Amino acid sequence: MRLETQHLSLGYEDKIIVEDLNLTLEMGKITTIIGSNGCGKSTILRSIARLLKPKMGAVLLDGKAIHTLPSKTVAQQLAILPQTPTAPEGITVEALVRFGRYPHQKFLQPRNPQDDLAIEQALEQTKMLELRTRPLETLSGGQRQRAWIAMSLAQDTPILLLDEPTTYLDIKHQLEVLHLLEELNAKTGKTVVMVLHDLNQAARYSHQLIAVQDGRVMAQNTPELVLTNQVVRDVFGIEAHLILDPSNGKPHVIPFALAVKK
Amino acid sequence: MKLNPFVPSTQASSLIPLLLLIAVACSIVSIGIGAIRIPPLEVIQALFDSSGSINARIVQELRLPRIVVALICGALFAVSGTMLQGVVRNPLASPDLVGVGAGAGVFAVITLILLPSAPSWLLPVGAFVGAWLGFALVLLLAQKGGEIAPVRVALIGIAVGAALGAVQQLILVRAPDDIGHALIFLAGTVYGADWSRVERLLPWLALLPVAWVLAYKLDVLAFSDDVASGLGMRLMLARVVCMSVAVALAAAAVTGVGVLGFVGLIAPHAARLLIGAKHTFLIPTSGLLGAILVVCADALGRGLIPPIEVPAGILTTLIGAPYFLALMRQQGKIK
Repeated sequence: MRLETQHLSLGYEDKIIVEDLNLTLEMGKITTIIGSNGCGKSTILRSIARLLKPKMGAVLLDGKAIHTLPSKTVAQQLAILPQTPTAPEGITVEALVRFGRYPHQKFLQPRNPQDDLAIEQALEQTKMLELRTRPLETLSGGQRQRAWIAMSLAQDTPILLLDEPTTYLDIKHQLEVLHLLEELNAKTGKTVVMVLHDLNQAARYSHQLIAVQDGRVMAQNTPELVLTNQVVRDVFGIEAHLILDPSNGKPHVIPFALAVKK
Repeated sequence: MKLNPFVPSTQASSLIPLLLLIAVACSIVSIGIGAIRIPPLEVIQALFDSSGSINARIVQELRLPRIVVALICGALFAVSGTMLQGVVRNPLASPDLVGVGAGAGVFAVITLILLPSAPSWLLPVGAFVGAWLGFALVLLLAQKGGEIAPVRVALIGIAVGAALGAVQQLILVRAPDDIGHALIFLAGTVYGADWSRVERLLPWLALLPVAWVLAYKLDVLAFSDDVASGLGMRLMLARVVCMSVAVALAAAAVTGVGVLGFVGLIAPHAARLLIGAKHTFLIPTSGLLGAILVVCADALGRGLIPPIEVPAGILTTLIGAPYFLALMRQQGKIK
């Protein structure tokens, strides 16, 4: 399986946000797209998820443009958890997760044993088995996010895309979600591509970082190689100390000043 | 207020056969109401009486078709409203909020005036065309950069509906007297419904099972757009298909009883409160509630101050409005 973008140009109406983007995403790894507000990182993720049509170029899945593939075929290969998803009122965790099977179901034959198996696995992996009968509205923010991730897992795709999955969560639940993704990647080899705001969390949990500025990729590599004083200054506009996290040897950014524009 | 589970319990889903019984019971009682009162047991006898007695003729030829039209149109409006609310993701949407009811009305009038001797099946077809045109006009005005925002649809729908309603009045003022009489049902009443009107509506009933088959799609459409797209749903296609069915249902209902707007709004709301948001259950529940509502409104209209008949549309509004206001208050509290 291969996921890449070729001469990809993205934008809304007349505004071009990303131009001529060529990106190859590493399979079986966790890749995080980082960048300041409005740099186009969510736009890129949404386009890879087939939620935004390219102005030019294409997102290629195994060499085929995903915007020309049947929508269910794409949904069997990649799942997307958008930033603020909403569900029908009163829906329980289990009913929510069941909708993850939609791309695998044919018209008028909605249920088969394979669906039930995928749903059980998804609930187990996200530790939602005990909360399966609870309505989504009654869950805490962290539990709710786990329920949505469970839905994406039930979709049973080799690739999982997440748009800022930790936003609106407190620090404990942020780590809980990221830890869950790390575990999923380690155990099942699922490719994870996400957008994160927190540089240190991105560095801690990702194999690869993609630093985006003004719709262009400034650096794509391991966290150690991407997070340099130069990149932090150019991409985020801050001066920072870079130290190594004593517990895992990953780079840690301690900002201390705004960068002076030259 | 306790939130309804999305998938109802077995206890809650037994509500559907119960509503079916209530609909039958209300119909039988309603058939008995009129200048000559017939007790329910005799109504049942008369329904199966082939001897041509007076009771049998009153029941079979005069009252039964009227009740059948009330049942059918109540269900059509209710299911149409349920689908529209699902697709537009706005609990306050209903056929008359998206230009459908008014479009159907105008074209029913135009069809009758231009083609007074046309076969009867043409009337609902004309209404369907008008309903689609009214609806397309709303969609066209509501779309912005290829996207159609739910709230804009509702707002523009009200304006277009008002304009089309005025056009219909204008045409009716200038219409010959006999045409005006033929279109009396457009005022929202079951008065004068006969077997030929039932026959005209019958083919359109086939859309009810179609609506039910689309229930799963409507469930997916109830998620935010990104989620539904991510699951592999072709949003535009699914919306157009569901909306077309909803438009056709409402257009057919308009040729039966005119616009009974509140039915398409109230029945889905009540159904949602009773059985939850899953469309497989919501659609039949809403349809039955709509049928019951219209039959009861018509029965009340005939029974209250005989021999004067109060049109069913006035009564559904009188019953519906306070209920709707209560719902609005409740919604406000939840939020």
